[in-house]
Amino acid sequence: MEQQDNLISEISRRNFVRGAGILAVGVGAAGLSPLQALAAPMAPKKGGTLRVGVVGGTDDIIDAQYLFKMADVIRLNIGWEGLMNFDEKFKPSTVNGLAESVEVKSLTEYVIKMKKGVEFHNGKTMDMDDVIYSWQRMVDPALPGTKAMAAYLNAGGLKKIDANTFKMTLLQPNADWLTTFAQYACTIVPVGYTRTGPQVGTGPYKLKSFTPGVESTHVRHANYWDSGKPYLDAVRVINFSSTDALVNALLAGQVDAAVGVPAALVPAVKKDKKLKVIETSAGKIAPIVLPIDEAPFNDVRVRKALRMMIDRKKIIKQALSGHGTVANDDFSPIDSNYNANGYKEPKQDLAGGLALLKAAGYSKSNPLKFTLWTGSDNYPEVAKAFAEQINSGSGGVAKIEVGVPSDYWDTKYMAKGVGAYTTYWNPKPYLVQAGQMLDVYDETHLAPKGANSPYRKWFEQAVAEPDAAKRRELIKKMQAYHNENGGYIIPFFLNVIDAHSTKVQGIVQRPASLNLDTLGMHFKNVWMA
Amino acid sequence: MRILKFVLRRLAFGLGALIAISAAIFLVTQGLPADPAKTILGRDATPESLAALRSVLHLDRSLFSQYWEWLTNVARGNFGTSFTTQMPISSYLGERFSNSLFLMIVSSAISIPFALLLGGYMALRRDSLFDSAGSFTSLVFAAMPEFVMGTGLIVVFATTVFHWFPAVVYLEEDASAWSDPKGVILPIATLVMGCIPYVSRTMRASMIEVLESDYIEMARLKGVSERKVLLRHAFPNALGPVFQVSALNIAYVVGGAVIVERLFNFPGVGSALTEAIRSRDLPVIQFLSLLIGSVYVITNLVADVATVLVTPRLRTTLP
Amino acid sequence: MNKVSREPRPFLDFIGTVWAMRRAKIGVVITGLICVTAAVGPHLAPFTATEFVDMPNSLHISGALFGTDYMGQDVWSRFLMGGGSILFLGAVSTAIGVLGGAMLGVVAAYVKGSLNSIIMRTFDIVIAFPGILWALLLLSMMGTSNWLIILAIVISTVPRVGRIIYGAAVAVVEKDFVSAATAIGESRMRIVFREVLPNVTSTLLVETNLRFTYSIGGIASLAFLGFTSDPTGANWGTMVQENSSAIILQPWGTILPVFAIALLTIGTGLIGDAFSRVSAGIDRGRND
Repeated sequence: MEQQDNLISEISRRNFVRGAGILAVGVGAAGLSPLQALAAPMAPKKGGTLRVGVVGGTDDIIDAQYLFKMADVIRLNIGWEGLMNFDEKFKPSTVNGLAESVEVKSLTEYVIKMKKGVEFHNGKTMDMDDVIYSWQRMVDPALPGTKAMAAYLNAGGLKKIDANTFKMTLLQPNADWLTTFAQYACTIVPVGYTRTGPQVGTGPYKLKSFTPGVESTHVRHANYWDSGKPYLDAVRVINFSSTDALVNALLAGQVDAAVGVPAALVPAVKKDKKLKVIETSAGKIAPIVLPIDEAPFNDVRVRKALRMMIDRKKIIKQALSGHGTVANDDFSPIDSNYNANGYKEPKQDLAGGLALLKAAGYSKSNPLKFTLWTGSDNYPEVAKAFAEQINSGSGGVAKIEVGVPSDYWDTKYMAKGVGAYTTYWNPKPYLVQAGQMLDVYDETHLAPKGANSPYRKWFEQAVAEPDAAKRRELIKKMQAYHNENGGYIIPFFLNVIDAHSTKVQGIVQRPASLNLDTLGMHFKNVWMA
Repeated sequence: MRILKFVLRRLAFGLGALIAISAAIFLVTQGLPADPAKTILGRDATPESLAALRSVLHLDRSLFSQYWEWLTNVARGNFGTSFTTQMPISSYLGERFSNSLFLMIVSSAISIPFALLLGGYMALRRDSLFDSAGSFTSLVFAAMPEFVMGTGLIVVFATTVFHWFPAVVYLEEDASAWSDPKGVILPIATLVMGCIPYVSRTMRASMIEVLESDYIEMARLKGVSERKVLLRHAFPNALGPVFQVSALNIAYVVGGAVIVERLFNFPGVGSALTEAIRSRDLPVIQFLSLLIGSVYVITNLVADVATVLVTPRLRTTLP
Repeated sequence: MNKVSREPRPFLDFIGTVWAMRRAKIGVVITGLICVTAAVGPHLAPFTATEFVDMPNSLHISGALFGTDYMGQDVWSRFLMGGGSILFLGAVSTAIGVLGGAMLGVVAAYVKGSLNSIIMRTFDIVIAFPGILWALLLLSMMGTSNWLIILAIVISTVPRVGRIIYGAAVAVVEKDFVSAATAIGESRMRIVFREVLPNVTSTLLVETNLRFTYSIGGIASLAFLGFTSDPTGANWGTMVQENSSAIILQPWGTILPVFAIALLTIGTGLIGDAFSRVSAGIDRGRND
């Protein structure tokens, strides 16, 4: 079989896509321990409207299987569900999904039995045609953002077996494919669904109205399959132009929950006794990307020096107000194979870094100069703190400038020859993340340019390797290689911080695949006291 | 008759100005580094889909023909579709416009009469303590940029000294600005404090000049009561120059109040335009610019006509 | 109509009269104070503009009287360093704008016909649209280098100055001595510089001051909106924007720069008011 060049192609930072898409790692809220989840002694009350605030814009969309940003995620998750969700141990589970059972016949063959009697918002009962149409839409080459999954699945790989069962056959083996089923953008839609048509799903709330950039209203789905739920009459997802406005509204009681509270404002929210802060750490990262095929980053000494010269604890204090944990440039802490080589937490080593820079030919008279680009909505403090530490720590041997253009994502992110830049990734399993990084940045940012990069080879082997121990060995090699040569600087893992009013019940503080305790599992566990 | 001709000429000029402005803005927005088609399709744009979208949006035609098409559409009342939301512009921007209109009406209704009285009284009590104090205060407020004033108001009345008002405006869907009176007090106060100094000072200066004029002296000599002199002769004649300044301040609220809208998160035309510029939504940029320009043209026209009507002697020298 | 004939006041006389006014003195003191702070401040700052001092948005930190800002940087140090670029950009853009506007205004006053129309109509068109929006468009499309910021301010300044100077210059141009000069055959340029410019001096001074005040305000406002050439450096306008979300935690990060900008604009405004009063006094043959 020929080695694919793009195993998982074109998953951009913003254009999240199912498949190897945003696979969050975490607990499904009403997963294996509903009693634990609803630890509150009160019985859930029915009724009421929940107002959720989020930062968004006029380019918000609603699409069951596609999204750009957080506001889109929420609107998607409210109305649509997929085959599985993640349980407390970050394993895919069918408890809250539409699948009854999933049988893994081999790394390329899956037989899925669906739950019976699931009704769409328009009254239609879900059948195999809907399920197959949904998966075909996810790999439709005519639609944007489908290339990633299309590498593994095409329309022909879906076959109906009987009224409730279907078979999925992959084009290539993928050891992590089950996590795809639990990915929140891999949802089931009725036959003929399009983004511009009626927005119909199976989720606990159906869309009533949507004004992009302003607000959307979702009302209770009376015949939701998980009977007894949801509790609320309606959910309103309200847009704000900035996190400041969002937090202000939360403090003023104008919204009941806020998704994405900036770290610097947490003390203000904590001060208010009527509010509760939900802070979890599951391995979200905001890395600095050094394009390793471009000067000056093509010199591995430069990359290593930059890594060595930062004080990671200090960056967390400065850029995140302390709301993060130190990382050693590797990712996916929730994955059982995280840090398989046992690297220690890196300490700042200014002298060592400077020595490397000097060896690479840089000095005060010939400083290392480049621009670090970031967006105002992309933790600009990280870039600023990073630049400041390197500049002052190097005593003038490095001169990094920070650029924060208003059109960062369009013009500087992943652009060639502009310098270094920043991005962020939600937590997901190691191989999935590696695949996305390889895909988005093609080979240049993780491994030297050109085919036959060892990192990519090991990746492809690992993905197809059914034996867990052998896979771990491959991942170890990948991690070591990335640590030595990679173009990613990952100083920390970010905490995910949200907040809600104490009136809001059903949200538990625990690491989750999505903010706010996986949005209270499609908001179906949420009720108002 | 003369006045009618005057109005028509000013209208014609205004229309010309609007066309010139919209053409200028069209040119500037074409100097974008970003390609609108790419912005809409985002990262998963393929060369084919980009080309297809470009031709749908007529981006492949000459600048002039694009502009001409836009102009003729506007003349027919078709303002186009937003790039980002794919919705017809007029439908979803109507709300923003009425919000800004509300701000404009309320702030003008408060500031203009107050400023006129203030300026007139200051002129009457010239060089008194009232006049000096008033002049100084109005100077202070006139000089400060509005984000300074607005932030000051927020610090004093919303967050740090007192907590009487919310720091940010929050409006429900389909609700209009006037449904949250408490929330709009601070933005209106900022606008009012920005408007009063100019109008009152112009009024003061104009009133002083009128009061010293032969015309008033004659009226006084003739034995007309001071009250009548002030109300019937001085005040109306002093109003002339004030209309221009007032028009500027009024029109400014729709579109120019970008800072105030940003500070208070007010969903008006100014912030809509800022968002559109940020997301390179050309049709929205064009439409809003036209809207804002029209407001200026109309208010200026009304001001000019009012000036002429109020100042009889100007009628003989109509341009 | 009572109108004392206008004679050009000797420049020094004008300044002297202005200085005699109390408000001018106050204005100069205030403006001077802020300028000195902006100039000397960077040398007095205990920390650098980007140095990490302590946790963000904290008060009660020993060694940092006014606490830390949104990135843990010292508020007081950034305040001391934040005025320089605003003043510099303000001064440069005012100088260019006033010069350009004055020249265009004088030229338009002197030449009749289509050139006059073109210049004046262009002025009208630029003014018919809010200056901040022109600036937004320009800077969003073309970036935010210092020269572009200056250009944005110049675009607002030139037509306004031009109009005022045109009004003043027209009155002068109609006077006899200009026609006399033309009769003698002096070159146009010399006429403009010799005869017309000195007579619009007082108006020019008033306008320059006014424009400087607005330039400061404009540049600070643009910085507040995020249009600055140096995103990490200290700048009073950006400080307000960076720290205003944390006002409830740490008011100084917002109050200090706001106060500084307010004082600066008030100071220049007072001076300008003195200018305009003296200038108007000239017009009406009185001394206020």
